[in-house]
Amino acid sequence: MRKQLTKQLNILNVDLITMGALCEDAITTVTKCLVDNCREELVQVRQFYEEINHLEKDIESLALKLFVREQPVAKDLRIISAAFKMIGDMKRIGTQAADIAEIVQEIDSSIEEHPARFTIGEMAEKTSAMVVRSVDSYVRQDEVLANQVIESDDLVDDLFIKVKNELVHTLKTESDHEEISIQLLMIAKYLERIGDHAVNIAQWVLFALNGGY
Amino acid sequence: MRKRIFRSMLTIVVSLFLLCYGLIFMILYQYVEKDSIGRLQSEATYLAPGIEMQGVEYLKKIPLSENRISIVANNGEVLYDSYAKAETMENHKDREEIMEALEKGEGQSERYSSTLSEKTFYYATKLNDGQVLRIARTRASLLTLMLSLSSPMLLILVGELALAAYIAYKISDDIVSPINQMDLDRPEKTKTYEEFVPIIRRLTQQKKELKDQMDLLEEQKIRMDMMTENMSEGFLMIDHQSRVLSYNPALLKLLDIDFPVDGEPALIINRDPSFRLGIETALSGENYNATFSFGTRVFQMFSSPVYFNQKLLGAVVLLVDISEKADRENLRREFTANVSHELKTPLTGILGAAELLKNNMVQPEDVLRFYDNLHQQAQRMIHLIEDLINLSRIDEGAPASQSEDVDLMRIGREVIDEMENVAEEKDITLSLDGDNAQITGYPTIVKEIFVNVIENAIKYNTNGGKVAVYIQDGDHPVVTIEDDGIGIPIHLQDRVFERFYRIDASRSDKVRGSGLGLAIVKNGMNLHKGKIELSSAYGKGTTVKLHFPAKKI
Repeated sequence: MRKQLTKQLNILNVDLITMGALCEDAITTVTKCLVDNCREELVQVRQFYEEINHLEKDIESLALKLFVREQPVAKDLRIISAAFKMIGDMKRIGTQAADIAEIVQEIDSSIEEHPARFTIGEMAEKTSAMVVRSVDSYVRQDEVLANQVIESDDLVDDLFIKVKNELVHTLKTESDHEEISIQLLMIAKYLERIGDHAVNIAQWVLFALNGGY
Repeated sequence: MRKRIFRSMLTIVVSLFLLCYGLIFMILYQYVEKDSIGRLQSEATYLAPGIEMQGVEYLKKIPLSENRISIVANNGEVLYDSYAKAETMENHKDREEIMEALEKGEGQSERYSSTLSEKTFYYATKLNDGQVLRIARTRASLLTLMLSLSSPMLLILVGELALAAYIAYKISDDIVSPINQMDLDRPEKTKTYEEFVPIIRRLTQQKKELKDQMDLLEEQKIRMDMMTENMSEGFLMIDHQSRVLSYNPALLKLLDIDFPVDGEPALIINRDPSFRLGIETALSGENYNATFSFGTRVFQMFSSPVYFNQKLLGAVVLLVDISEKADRENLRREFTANVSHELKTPLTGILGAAELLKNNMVQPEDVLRFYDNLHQQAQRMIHLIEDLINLSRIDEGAPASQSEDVDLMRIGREVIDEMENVAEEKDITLSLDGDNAQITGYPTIVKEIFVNVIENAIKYNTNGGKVAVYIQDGDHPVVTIEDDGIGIPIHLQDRVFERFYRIDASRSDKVRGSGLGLAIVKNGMNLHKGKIELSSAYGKGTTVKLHFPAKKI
């Protein structure tokens, strides 16, 4: 039993869950505000983003330290390498959530009349559910859940295409939603990327569990 | 133990052997030496007369022993020697035994050979003619003798050692086996050495003490488990690294956890920001208290650090489900808002009408209609306030009057009679049937319950409908009020008992009501410890069953 390694792995685990939870917080806040329009809470997303960055650095140095000092093998090695890769994806989720929050803050209330708002709201909800479930799959080390996350990416991708088509249609037919349409397109793209990162996290969970890559 | 017995046994054997060996040898050797001298002496005595008479020639005649015989003149010159030629030998004047013999008549001495391996005894006696007869006998020295004896002795030693080992083995076995056979689980039952009795007594006692302590611990654990297991609050204990140490089933139930959490980080249980902050705060040594929501439920979370000997060991978290409390809080807020609204609506009407009348802005032919309106609004307010008073009276619990026997059939009849007029307006048939049933309760409140249920059945009915009241006696009397009216949509059936809840606003305008009726029914039934069963099909009618508890005797 390598006591030091076990202790450090526990810290790594806790930090990683915290980072995942922060990603969830960021994306759920963004989703909520996209639908409900709440300015104050959007400011928090920036804080989440900063905390995520901070944790990423912590986890990175801890993982490197573990590689060098403990020279982990077998499952420990998989866990640490998976963590090393996962923090990258989590950081991207944090960054993109913060980007969306910035755009949402710029958008005026005319979003409520935009024809694509329901689809993009649905897309945001699906994406945020994906992030929550990918973190869940890590927390519970649940293979089934991880696979579900990977599968549900198609749903978000389809929704992205749907949003895109709706926006194109709006741009063609209505003249008073141009700017907001462009902004919504950017949000949709960010959401789609967040979905991809959630898939990556799920894949790393699978890797940590059984070494499949 | 066994080793020690072995070792001491062997030491005893070896040292005893060496001691005996040495002692025997010494005694033996001394005896042998004495014997040698004696024999030389007797030989000399036997030879002396012959030599005295016949001289050296005598020696040549008789057969000689292997002893060396020499004759030395009184000047020390060797005259005869049985081993060597006399003339080659040196003068013996200085020899100890010769000198002694010349002086005292006889002498003896002993000398080691140059290699020490042999020892020679000399005996000399003075003959009549002044010559000295000397007899010498050479024999192996003590050392040589000992060495020559060593191989059989070694054999004996080995034999002895083997025997000693065997005996030691046997003895140690005999000593040890009762100790080994001691049943340590039940030391009091063991028969063993007398010397062990105090130890065993002590052992028995300690065993009992240990068992008592274990029992006590076990009992405390069970008590603790029972306490945490049966409480409805979630309980969680974590160590200083936020790993789960202990929790109760309620926690898993409250937070919908169906995966293992033992030894995992506390964050596996929930990742809500408030929960995270709670864990973090407690582990940094401070108390924390906040609410957070999980799904549809709202929790109050208390977390506190756990110290032992000034050292932070971990934290304890308690989760209380306050969803109901939060709901009630909402209801109360709604109720206040509703009351003010309901009171304000008729008042506005009254105020408006009164102002118009006061300013003489009403056409004379309309004045009567205005008065009528004023009257209606005031009556509505009175109704509302009466309902509120009833409700709050029931809310406060049992009325001042004692509970008494209540005849359900009699009250049913009274209410039906009072309602007859209202029902006739809508051409509704009222019927009452069933058994005489008695309960213990408060007649005024029971009547209020009946009035409200039957009133609703009439109000929310179509023209020409039916309302049937059926009273069934039994252990638990049941009053069934059935109508074929408009019914209640299934998803709203839970809400109709809320205060001021009315199914839809448009209907409320047509049908006068405070929205308090069913709330009064519900509270009244609660007061009587009864139950309400509502079943309704939208558009087909509603059945309300009032289950009363058995009459107290």
